[in-house]
Amino acid sequence: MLIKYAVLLRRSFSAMLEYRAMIFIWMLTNVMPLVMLAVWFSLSEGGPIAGYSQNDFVAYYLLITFVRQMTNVWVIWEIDYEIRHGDFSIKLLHPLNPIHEYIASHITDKFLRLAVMIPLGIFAWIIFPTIHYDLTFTTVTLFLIALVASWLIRFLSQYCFGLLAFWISASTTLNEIWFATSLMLGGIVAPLDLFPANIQLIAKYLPFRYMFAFPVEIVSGRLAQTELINGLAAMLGWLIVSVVVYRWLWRRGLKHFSAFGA
Amino acid sequence: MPLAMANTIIQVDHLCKYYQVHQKEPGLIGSLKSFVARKYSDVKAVDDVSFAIDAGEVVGFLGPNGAGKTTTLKVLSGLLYPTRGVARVLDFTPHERRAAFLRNITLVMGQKQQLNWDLPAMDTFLVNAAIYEIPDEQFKKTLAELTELLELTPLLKKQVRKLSLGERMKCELSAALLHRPQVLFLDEPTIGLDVTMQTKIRQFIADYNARYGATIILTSHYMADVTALCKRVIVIDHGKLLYDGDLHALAEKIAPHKLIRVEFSQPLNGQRLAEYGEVVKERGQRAELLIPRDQTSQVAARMLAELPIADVTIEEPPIEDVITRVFEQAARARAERGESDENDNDE
Repeated sequence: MLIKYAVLLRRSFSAMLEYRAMIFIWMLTNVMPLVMLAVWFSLSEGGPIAGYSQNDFVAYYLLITFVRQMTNVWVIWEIDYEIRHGDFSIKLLHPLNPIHEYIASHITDKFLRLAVMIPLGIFAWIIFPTIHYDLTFTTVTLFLIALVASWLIRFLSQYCFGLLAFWISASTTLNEIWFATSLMLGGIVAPLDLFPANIQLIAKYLPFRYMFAFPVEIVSGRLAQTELINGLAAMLGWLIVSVVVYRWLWRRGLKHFSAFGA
Repeated sequence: MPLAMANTIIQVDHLCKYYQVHQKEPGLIGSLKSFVARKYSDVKAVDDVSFAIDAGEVVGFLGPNGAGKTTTLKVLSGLLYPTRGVARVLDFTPHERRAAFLRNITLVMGQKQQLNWDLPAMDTFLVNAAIYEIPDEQFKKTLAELTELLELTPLLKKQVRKLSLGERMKCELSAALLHRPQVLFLDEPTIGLDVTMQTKIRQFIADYNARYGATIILTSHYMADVTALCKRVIVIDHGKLLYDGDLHALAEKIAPHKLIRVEFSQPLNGQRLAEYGEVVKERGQRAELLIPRDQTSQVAARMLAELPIADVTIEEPPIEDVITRVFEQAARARAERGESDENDNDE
């Protein structure tokens, strides 16, 4: 399996390098967190909002921009296209689950994004020398684990919406609704601390926080230990749910596809 | 179910594949209607088809568009599962899509491609080598053979999108055959190619069959592909099997005539050609006649004796005409049974 991944990664690297300019432009379109930063930055000029000073907003939004870039997922557009155009059938002829090809191309994309993000991060640190994160060995380790888990939840949930294309033609629309909700309740529009208490409570049980905000919260130094543990448990829970739903949809979807459309 | 022979590779028994297709009248009103109440009809893409193919056979699969050829190939390669009936390939049930099965077959669709558009074909080859777990040695050997048979050397390092249609097809075939499948399903492998390239691909398929003893089912709209490669043909139309057997026996069965072409040394004066057989063409001092198979030699002898003949040839009628006749006969038979040509039942 490792060899297969090595080869798949090599190919998607070559393919993406053909489109390096396009990837850079795609990255620039994901600047919504920075726009929100500008909004909250100016609103908090008069004093902290819900405990967030200007400096806190900068720290929060720079890191959530990073999380969003590093967990970026587009697999639904490929699945949707390939199912409707019959290219998916070709993939089904291979003795390898097609999900591995998509995972490989997403991993490649992360390396390319990282290459852009690291210099930008250093640049940001120079401009905002006052921003501060709670960086210990534990928080950084947990941040990295949570980052991978966020990506997996985002990837698998979008993959599941993609598989709906076996049955319906509106799968991408459903995914858009899901995505808009995740911007709202995932902490992109505003840090979840700024929401009313009851919405905060709901958000802790929904998957969206674990797609964006939670890794940032881990290094923000705002989580009490129980909150941290509960959050990690909820994240693991949603990860397991994603895997289970994916496996179920995949089996059912293939059956449906081979009955009607392949 | 008939007992499978020891070397039967493909066994199809009473195979049926029906689709439910939703019907929509054109235009906005039609769209609204179909939004409120969808009308479905059953399309019998494959309807009670049985055949068996032995190891090493190259079988031509003939039928007009929509006859059920591609559907059958998709069932056999595991992309579709049958509505009824049984399909077995290499002792596997295709739609279970076991890795051991997929590693031994290939499906090439002339209209579809698996090569990555932006990369040279070699990149896809390397990926396939990994996916199919082809040992290094075997990969090198197979690639060398394919390179020799298909003259791939100048193509391997070019971006696929910069290849011509024929060059791309060569690379597609190679990508599909790197794992040396024992069973090949080739759906229109020469579609859109010029005559030279068609001949090359055809030659390659024959070579592959000879070299590896592979079992091949081939569909094509070019009869030349079929006559060059296949001793045996399976003819289907409207999902039903019309003929299964020797290609030349089909000609004898369907077209019980031979074609006599004659050239006269001087214009005929009054002699009537219709006395000898069915006149297909008569222009100037040339004519073509259809003569019943068993009388060909007597009629030819009579014509030579009685007419001012400069030249004469006796031929099989073109295979295209034979096939057209098969389908015409089938259509007539359906009409007599009172079946509609669309082969669907509204619900």
